[in-house]
Amino acid sequence: MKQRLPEKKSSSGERRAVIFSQLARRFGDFWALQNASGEILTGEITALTGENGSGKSTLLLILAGILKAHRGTVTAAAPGKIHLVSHQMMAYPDLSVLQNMKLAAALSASSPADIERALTYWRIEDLAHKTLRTLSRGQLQRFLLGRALLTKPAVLLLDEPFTGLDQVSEGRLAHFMHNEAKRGTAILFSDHHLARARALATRSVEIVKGVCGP
Amino acid sequence: MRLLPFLVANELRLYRAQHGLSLAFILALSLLGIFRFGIPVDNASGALLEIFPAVAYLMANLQLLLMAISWESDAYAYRYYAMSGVPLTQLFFAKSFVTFTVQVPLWFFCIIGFLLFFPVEAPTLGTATALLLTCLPLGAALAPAGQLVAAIAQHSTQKNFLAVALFLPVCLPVLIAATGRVSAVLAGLDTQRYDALLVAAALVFLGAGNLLFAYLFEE
Repeated sequence: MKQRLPEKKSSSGERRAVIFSQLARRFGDFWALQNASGEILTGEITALTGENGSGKSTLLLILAGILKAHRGTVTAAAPGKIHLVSHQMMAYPDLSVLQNMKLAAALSASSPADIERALTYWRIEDLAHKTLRTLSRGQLQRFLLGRALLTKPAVLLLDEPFTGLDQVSEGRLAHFMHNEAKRGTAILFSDHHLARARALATRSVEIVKGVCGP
Repeated sequence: MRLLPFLVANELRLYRAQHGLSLAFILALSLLGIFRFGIPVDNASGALLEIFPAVAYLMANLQLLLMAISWESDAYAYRYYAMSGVPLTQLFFAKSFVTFTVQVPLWFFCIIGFLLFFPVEAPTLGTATALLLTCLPLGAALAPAGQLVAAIAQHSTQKNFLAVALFLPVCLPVLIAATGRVSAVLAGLDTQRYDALLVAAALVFLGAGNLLFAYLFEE
């Protein structure tokens, strides 16, 4: 089921960044995702809503190329430029913020100046030499968002990105998402806070028991 | 292959960040001590005696392997590579290269401990060098084997148990060849057949890793 939110025009047209069709994925006998179809548009912020266990995280992991779908297809305009900020840090807990950033920079061909910018934007310069294992939940989330900023993705997937953030960082995240969308990034984010999702998103997709789409 | 130096540098950082390598040395030393003083080896000879440095080295390697599994899987670090479109064969070669490198001092440590503790004749410089050089074919075989086992065990809920259960039997021919080579060197015999076995094992594990590593990491 697809739901349209109050009119907010995308700033950079309606070019399709990702199209996914009839995606299905099971874990053992349980089909976490049964039939998910849709698209993510360039320069648009799309909210992915649904109950706990409805398949949001599984869909995001498949779109990021981390999980393989058992059925269905994902077509991306820039396959290597999809970045997911998920509940799992997908980083090395025993390395420092800076060391993890350097690895991400190497993989995305970003410069040391980009690292500086990401650390400053997310106010984690002071944490640069701390290992991820020692960070609080909110600090870790800011590191993950900083890494997303560093890699300049074409498609940004955010799985409940507001988790653990303080009020200032929440505002910064909203600002970050708008800026990224203006830059032409296609953004899909999941959030349980429906009012916040409505305020932020151009469009909303609801997933119910692993099913979404037209 | 542009990413390979970065992946190698990152692996080295991981080794430095953990205390796994020093633990491996402590484990090797403890095992050599147990073998020397806990088992009546004074009257032992031949392969019975020479198996001890190889076993200590293998167990220390297993400890390194378990550490390497935990740093990839604890926080799903490997998923970042999948997401970034990094060819996982490059990761396999980077990991194998670094594991190979850190195994060299470990083997030196085991051999020196063996020569110091155990009732063997003091070797000539040539013999000692030949013993130490065993680390090259041995490490070349064990390093990719360990990475393959790590990749197989990665997604299991019992990953440590699975890694131990796979690593020991997979590496048994390597252990036999290493022991045989040490015996041959000490007896002044030709080591070619053992070298050939170790090199063959290295090629098999490198080939299998190149083909299977990415597939094994796939979720």
